[in-house]
Amino acid sequence: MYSTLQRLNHISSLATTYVMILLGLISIASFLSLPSVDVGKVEIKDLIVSKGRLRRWGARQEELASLKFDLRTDLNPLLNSYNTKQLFIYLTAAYEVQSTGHAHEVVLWDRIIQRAEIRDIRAEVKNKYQWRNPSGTFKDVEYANMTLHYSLMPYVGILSSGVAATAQGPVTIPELIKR
Amino acid sequence: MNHLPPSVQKVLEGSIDPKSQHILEQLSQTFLIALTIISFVLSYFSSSVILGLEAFLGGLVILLLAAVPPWPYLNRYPIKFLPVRKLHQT
Repeated sequence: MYSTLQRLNHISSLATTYVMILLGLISIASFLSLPSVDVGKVEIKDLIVSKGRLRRWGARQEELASLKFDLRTDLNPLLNSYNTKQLFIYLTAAYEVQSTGHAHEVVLWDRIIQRAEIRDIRAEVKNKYQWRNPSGTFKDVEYANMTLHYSLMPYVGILSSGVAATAQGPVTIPELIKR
Repeated sequence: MNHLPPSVQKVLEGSIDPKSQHILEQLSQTFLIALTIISFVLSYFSSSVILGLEAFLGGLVILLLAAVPPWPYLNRYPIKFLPVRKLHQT
């Protein structure tokens, strides 16, 4: 603390320590005060399975499922919580292939919602990513469970995630539409 | 820094007396602890992380302005040196 430079050095190094403590306090407090989410509803509409090609060179025709869905869930508690920078929400379909018993989980749609953005996402939306089965057919798949997950990205601290909405019961996969 | 005139060097070096150094060290420590607590409470109750960090930064700027330049209040207890004894009188 003798000269100007020493004082500048000493105080700024002390301040670095205390800003780390402050950020630690913030991350602990925000982790402890995470809001609970009422699980909303996903309504699946117009789920169809048809023959198609993925946009890839030399792709063969295979069965692709496409769908529209309605989303009804309140994300305000999450977006207005203490330490939220943005939310990542994504819709997954979890299903099991009957013959092999393999379980699959695929992401069909996702979206990033930032804190300052409008929270109204009531619009009817389509699947953003192609839904195909590795075997190329949906014959062995009877039904799928649709879930809307969220991941909360904080300014500082631990990522947390959970379920924001689910479909009412399993969704039956329909027969292939022949053209 | 040695090529500068002595008066400019003295201002840039900005030395303060030992008692003030001790007081300043304790005061800045206490100030930063209080600042951390205040900005945490502020950010928690306004539920905004950014506001807490801004409060911390504001307090830090005030502390730096008050403590870094050699203000006159940091030289209130100058050391009184004994007069120089003349050993060999010629």
